[in-house]
Amino acid sequence: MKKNRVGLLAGAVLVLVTVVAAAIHLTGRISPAEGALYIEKDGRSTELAISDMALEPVRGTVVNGKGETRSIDGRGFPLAALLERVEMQADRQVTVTADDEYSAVVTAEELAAPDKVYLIAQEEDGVQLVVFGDANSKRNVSNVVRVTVE
Amino acid sequence: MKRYDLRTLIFLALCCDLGLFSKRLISPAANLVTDALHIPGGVGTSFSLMFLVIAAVVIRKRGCAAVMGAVQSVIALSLGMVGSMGALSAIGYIMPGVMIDFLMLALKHTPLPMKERMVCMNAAAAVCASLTANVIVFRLGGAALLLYLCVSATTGTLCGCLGARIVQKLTPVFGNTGGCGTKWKERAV
Repeated sequence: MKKNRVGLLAGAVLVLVTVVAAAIHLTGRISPAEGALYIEKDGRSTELAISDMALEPVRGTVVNGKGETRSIDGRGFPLAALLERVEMQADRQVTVTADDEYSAVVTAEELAAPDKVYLIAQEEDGVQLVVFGDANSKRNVSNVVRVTVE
Repeated sequence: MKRYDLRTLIFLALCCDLGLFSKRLISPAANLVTDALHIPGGVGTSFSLMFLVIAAVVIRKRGCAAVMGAVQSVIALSLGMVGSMGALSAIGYIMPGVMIDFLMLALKHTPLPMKERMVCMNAAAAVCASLTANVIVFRLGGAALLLYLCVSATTGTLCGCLGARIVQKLTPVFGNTGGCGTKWKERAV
């Protein structure tokens, strides 16, 4: 009975810590309005509606983790165009973060390369980062919400 | 080293497969939780590791969980189920197995009942898997990482309880398991 009580207490403490962690995470995270991207550089930040960007056809192929080639045929805009629009140029790199905090880093050189780094519209809402030419598509971040420019 | 009998091998293979494919099966439900919390995962893995813990507890052979993790990684690589970890997914499968084996050994001489041991093993393995995934892929930090690990530990704890219930149900089937010579019923939960 005593062991049961200790087990239950440990479980309750774990749940409590999880709830506290969830509260800290959910209240502290930067969450832009639906259909918008949060872009920040050196403490300066702005939100831009995805619909404000002019979409252009994006076509190419990416290689996934299994080594399979997948063709991309959608509409989107270069990440460089987004940064140009908000007047935040990348000196070193750009970190693109998803709604679930998964992130990928794109270097300034990759941004400058033509037809390489795009944000494409997803079938459902939101945009996805696509980096053409990668050996593994793990930088293809879905549901992008935040872009941190350095 | 004692040989595994055919029944044990079939059971291990079943647990390997269940561990591997159950993740996909429950991912829609798991995604509901992880999407709401804005974290990249942690629930499905805890559930899939439950089968490794069950196998390790029922069979009770040293290195059983690590070997099963290795087998799972080979199956996953051969079927292309590598996710965003790519070729490094093998580490993600083996590390939790090593953790389960380590805790099996470490908790062997403690007065903890088997149910609590299974809860500890499942929770620790889930946290270990999450940490491995974080190092290899997610690179989370701060509150997001803390929540990710807490969710893994909590769901690991729940799955450990569920695993213990399953092991209880398996007791009549595995009266004398793995050629170990001792009756499962005597040392069970």
